[in-house]
Amino acid sequence: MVTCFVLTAVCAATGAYAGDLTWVFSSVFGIAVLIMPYRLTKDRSVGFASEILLPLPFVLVSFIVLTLATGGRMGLFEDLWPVSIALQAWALMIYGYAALIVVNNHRGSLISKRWMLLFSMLVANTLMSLYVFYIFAEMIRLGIPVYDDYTVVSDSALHNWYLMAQMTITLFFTIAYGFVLRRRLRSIPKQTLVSYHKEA
Amino acid sequence: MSRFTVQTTICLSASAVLMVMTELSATHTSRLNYEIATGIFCAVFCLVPILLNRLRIMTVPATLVLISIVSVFFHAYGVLLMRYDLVRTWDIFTHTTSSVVVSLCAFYALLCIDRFDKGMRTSPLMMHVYIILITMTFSVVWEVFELLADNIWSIHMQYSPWDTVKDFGCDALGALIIVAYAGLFYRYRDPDELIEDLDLHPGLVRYLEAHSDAGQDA
Repeated sequence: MVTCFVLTAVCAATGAYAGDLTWVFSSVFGIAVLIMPYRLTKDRSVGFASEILLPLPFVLVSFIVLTLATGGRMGLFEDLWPVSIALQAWALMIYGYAALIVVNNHRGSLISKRWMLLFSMLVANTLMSLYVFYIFAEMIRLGIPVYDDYTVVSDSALHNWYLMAQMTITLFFTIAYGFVLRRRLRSIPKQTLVSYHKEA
Repeated sequence: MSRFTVQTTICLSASAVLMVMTELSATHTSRLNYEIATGIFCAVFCLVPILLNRLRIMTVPATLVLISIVSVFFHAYGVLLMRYDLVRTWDIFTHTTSSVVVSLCAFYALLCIDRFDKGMRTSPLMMHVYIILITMTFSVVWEVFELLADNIWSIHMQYSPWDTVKDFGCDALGALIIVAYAGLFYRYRDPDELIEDLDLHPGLVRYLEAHSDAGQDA
């Protein structure tokens, strides 16, 4: 848990370095979710089940290493940006699943495993859809044509891709991650997944 | 007049008007196949609530009937009479109403799932969150579909990035409208009463109950 917390904070800094503030927004969401067990139980030794958080360090370290190794080519509109998006979608799904565990445990709601998986996919897609406003603002700041009056038909496909890349890649990758997660968590009882685990 | 007769009248009237408009467009103008097909599709779509009732699948609530008919009717009207080209805000209006329809469908579906799926118990607050999640994801799916359609079939469903951002803004507004409606609904209506009024097909209810994860909650 502490590892995930630290790595999430480092990802926020790395995202800012690469010029992609969506990683900062996602990391803030991630940190808010990760500290929920501490805040709600007042017990600093508890955390989410390892079955949920297992891929997260891999995802976050991959983003950090790739960003630093490629000198910022993982940033907005750069050539390795799709890789960054795919990693962020995965991280958001994990954060979303953890958030739903908190909802199940503390918010007067009950959510079954299948719906937790589906809603975690929806969380990732919703957040990426909200980032479209930030990406649009960045396109204006960089002078990329965004309005009908200034868009040449032949270039409009590229400009639409700049705006739609985040959502398109997230949609397909969350579906793929969903299949993987469903297979991995199928045999694990819900009670094991939603229970907070004491850390050594 | 019974409640259902009012809904039937609305559906039949809207469908009839759209069929007449489509026929006039086909015979008196040089409308393209897309416009004619849109008119026919929307006219047929107006009959869906009647069909669902006739097949005893469910009884669509009057609110949903009215809003979906308004959405479909004005979209077809905009296409057939070129209101999308002549009125600047036509697209905003129809997109927002479409989003309201999607959000309302999501709300009613979640109420049914909440009632029949024993593994789910949804607080009003989380219901609001789920409505936003479903609506915005549906919006993503639709925009991605438009992007892929443009690339695969070389058509022009997506215009500029500004147009796409406007669509997302409309979708978010539609979701927020239904979030507000859901808040009022919980204050003044009983969800069980709505479920009874939906008059769901027993097979549908059995499906929801059978796929409950209640057994794994222990």
